[in-house]
Amino acid sequence: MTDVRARLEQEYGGSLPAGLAALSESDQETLVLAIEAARTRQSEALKKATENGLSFIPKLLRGPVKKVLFG
Amino acid sequence: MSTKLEAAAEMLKLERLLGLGGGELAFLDGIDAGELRTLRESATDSLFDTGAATLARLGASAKLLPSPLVAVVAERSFGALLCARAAGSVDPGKAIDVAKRLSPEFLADATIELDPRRVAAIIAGVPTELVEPVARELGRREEHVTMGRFLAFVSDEAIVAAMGALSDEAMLRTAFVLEHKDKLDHAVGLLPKDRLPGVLQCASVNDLWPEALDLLDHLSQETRGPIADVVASLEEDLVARLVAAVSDAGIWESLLPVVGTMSDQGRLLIASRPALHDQRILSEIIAAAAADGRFWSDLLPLIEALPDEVRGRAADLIASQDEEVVAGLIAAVRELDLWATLLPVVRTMSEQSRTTLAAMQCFHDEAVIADIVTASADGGLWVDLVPLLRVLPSGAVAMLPEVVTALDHATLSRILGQAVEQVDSLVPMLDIVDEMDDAGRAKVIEVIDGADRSLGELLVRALTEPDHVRLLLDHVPADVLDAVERAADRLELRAQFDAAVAGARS
Repeated sequence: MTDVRARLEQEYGGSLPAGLAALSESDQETLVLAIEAARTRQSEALKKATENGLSFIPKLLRGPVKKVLFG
Repeated sequence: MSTKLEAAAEMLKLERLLGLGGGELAFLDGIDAGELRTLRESATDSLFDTGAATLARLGASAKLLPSPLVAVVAERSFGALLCARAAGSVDPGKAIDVAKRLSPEFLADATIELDPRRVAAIIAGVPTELVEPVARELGRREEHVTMGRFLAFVSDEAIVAAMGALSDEAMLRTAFVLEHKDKLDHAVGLLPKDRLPGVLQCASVNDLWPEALDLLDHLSQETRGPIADVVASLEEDLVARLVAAVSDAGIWESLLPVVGTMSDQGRLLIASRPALHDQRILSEIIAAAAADGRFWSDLLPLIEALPDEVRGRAADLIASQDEEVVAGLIAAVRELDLWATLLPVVRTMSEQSRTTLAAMQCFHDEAVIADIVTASADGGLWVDLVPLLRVLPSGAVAMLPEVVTALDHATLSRILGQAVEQVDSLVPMLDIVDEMDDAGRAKVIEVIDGADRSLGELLVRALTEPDHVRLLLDHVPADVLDAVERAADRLELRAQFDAAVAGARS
């Protein structure tokens, strides 16, 4: 099994059904890259937002909120 | 529903989820909608699970701060994506209190990033006055996929408010990508009735007929019927655009059920439109019905409603189908009792087509022949059946006497009454009677002897019709003629009977 197909199967959550399995390797790669890129974009956006978010909280409340967030 | 449309909607939703433009996943065309849905749901879960633990803690921390402050921090600092992902962990009452303090633009941003399944309790409690501006903003941004994810989770009041805020086009596009299409029927029922013509007009003007037909496809018969009649009453040029759109997309299986739910008047109107009379279009429609046997019940009434010349061409196209397709048609006609619709269509065929059809194996089945004869008797269709009887092969014709003999008294009486109305339809009946055995003829004689005045007079007058009396007498077995003679006596038509018989034999 190719690396691309294995990655797509992971995204699909199991063996690829007939239609997706019949896609060319290039199309399968386009598809899996699109899913992976969406996840990466989102992960980065969430990280950035979390880092920036605390700066708006009044100093007095920053401690308790940090404690809740990061333990 | 149309599998093509279902897959097209899934592709749009997957593109939206992955932040891609329309058509970027066009290479998925032809893949089953179910496969695309599973992939999309799996990708949704993996996206929404990213950073879940931190987001849950962030959501929980909202309770530590007053709502006005949470709203300011949310909108100015954390941003829509983070807030949407953390929302599932915020107490619903708190979340709604905060939402009331956010701008519609920010709420629209956040809605795009929400997974409604994870925030169902919040969505259910969002006040209507908040739904309307957010729906308007999402409509303006053409966020149809986003709106389509929410229908199943909002109240009726919120649906009404959202639909009121959306343009007809946005509503159609949203319905097309709706996540829970089983809710469509209820939602459309909430629409003001006077909105529907505009929605359909919009479908035509903006080339959104696939979306509109998909919407109609998901409605109950009760909801679809009146809308189907609105389709039927569209102007001629709009019907032409509808037909062209359906032909281009190859989605006759979506239009046929709509035609099937039209009123007789609506069906007659749309059947009169020239766009449906084109030979290529007729071929496409019949091929669609042939490919999926479920649509004969929708198609046959449409064909019956076509003008004579067009109906003849459509009927010839049916006769040109493979035996297997015609067998499927006959099975559907038997199951749904559609003989009253099929027989007039068969009558309109060319003689050659009718002969081809009659030669097919499905007409050589005694049960089918019995069905046709009984349906003809019950529906007053003997005159429509005669052209088919004339071209049936000898094997099928040989079944007729036994089939007619097996009819009960009332049915036999009805069929005789229809047969005697015209000489063209009487001769085939007399031929059948002539081939009957004694028991069969005895049943016919019993009907004639027991005939009321109306049937008796018809029988005597038909058999003594001056222009045809010789021809008819040649076909009548002697014992049956005796019964007619007795009827003539009983009904005081003896003089007329004797004169006609004497004239014919002189």
